[in-house]
Amino acid sequence: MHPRTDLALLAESLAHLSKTPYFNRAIEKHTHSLIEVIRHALTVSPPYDEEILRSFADKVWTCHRYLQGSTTKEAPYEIEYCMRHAISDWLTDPCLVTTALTDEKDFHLKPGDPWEFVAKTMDRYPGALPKEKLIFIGVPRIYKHMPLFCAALYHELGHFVDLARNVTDVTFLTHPVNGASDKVQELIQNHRREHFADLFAACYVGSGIIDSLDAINPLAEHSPTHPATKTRIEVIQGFLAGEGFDELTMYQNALQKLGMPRLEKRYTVPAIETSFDDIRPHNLADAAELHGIMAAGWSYLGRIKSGGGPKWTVGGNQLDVIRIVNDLTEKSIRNASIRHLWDEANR
Amino acid sequence: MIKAEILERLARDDATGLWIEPLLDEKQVGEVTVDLRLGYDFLVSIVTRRPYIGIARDDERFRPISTYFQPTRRELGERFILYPDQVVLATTLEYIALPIDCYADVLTRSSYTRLGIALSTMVQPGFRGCFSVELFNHGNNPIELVVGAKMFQMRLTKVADGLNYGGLDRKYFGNVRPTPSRAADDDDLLRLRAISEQQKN
Repeated sequence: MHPRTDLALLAESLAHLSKTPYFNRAIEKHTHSLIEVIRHALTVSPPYDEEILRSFADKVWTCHRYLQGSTTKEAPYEIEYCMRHAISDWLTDPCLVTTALTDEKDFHLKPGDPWEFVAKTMDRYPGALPKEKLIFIGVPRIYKHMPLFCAALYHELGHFVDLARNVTDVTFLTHPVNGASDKVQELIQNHRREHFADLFAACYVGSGIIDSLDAINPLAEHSPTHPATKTRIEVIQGFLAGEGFDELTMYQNALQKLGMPRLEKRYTVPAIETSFDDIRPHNLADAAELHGIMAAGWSYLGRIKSGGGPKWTVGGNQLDVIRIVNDLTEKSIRNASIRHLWDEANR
Repeated sequence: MIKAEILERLARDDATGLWIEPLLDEKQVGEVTVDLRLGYDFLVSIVTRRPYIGIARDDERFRPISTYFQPTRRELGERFILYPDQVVLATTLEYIALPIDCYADVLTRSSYTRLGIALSTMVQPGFRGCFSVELFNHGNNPIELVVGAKMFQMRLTKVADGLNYGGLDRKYFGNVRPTPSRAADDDDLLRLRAISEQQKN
């Protein structure tokens, strides 16, 4: 409850974590740095202001959750692998992706900024701080082996990129909303954020994000935080059809102003039918197919649902069928990552 | 099958073809066997408060066999310790589609047999999935294993006619990670239970 007590308890728990066998070295570096900064914060004289310690404790608490998640050895490496590829298109800084499995229906992808905070507010810390930015991913535990159901993470990555570079804020410079109340301004900002994240996701998973929206809440109405699902899907469909429309131009202009890449198709839909019909993973050719397997997998599930699936899906338990399609997707991604690691080590 | 036949099967693109992915090194195909690597997902047996693993579902104290195992994952190249007298379920790194006219014997490579890990299992023609491997350390010392190491070898034997294996009615079909025993799903157990009840009355 009190920041000093919490920090001491968190340091104990982090020390315990770091003794976990097979602790990942990159994560270990961050854990040790956190322990060192906590030690400094609790012993330095004159002491830091209590409010600084309270804020720091909150940040350590969050880090602890994700660092712990990545050491339970249940991490969905395949989803992390896809996210790492997409993140590298937008952020040049080195990043460390950590994942926590959530018990709620909660996908998220957000920055962890303990080092920025320490550098700014705890300037008497004499040690070196890790250079990698921490990125926290949350995936519902029951989807840990359901990569197709995690396509929504690309939408969350869109929010992450937006917030990291203030993309939607910049849209208000070129497309201001004059004369509107604060409440309306906020609503428009929220909706612009959602549309941007949808378009961002569509750059990677194509129609997979429409399928995800349709599955999550197809009848969602317009609300202060989200546009109606129907409207969102129309915007995405327009983008995927290659149409030019004002909202898209608005985002492209903002991205250009910020010196960032354009919203454009970054995937190729792999022809998975031959492999999946024969219950084999698909050999993904490149990063474009890595992202594109999400659209291909959703489309494959749709084909099965409409009765056009291969022989092995007919008459079986639907959950088993969904599980196998997700497993084949997971293994396709994992095989790509294994080949990548193997080839890198041979260079 | 010998190497030339195995390579020829790997090149086929029909139901009699052999599909192994990822086949990271062509040298994995030997003169009479194909070397297979240790996968990255494990189910480690744990001691629970239940004194034994029951396989009769109608026993009121039955609990799913998966609860006697703890899942854990590793990355390629990471280590996994196999303790003496511990059952660990793992898989091959490779996903394998067997021809409909070949079955496979999966064995530990002799280097690992000499460490006290022995595996001998048979896989049906037409199988699809990562081979399930049941690791057991028969020695006195814990053994450090490396994910991706060539631990196993597969020997292929041709049968006279092709079989129609597969479908969701198979217990272990399209697996990409270790699956706990589904012994409790055997239909015979219900009949055996009925016989036992009859004998009691």
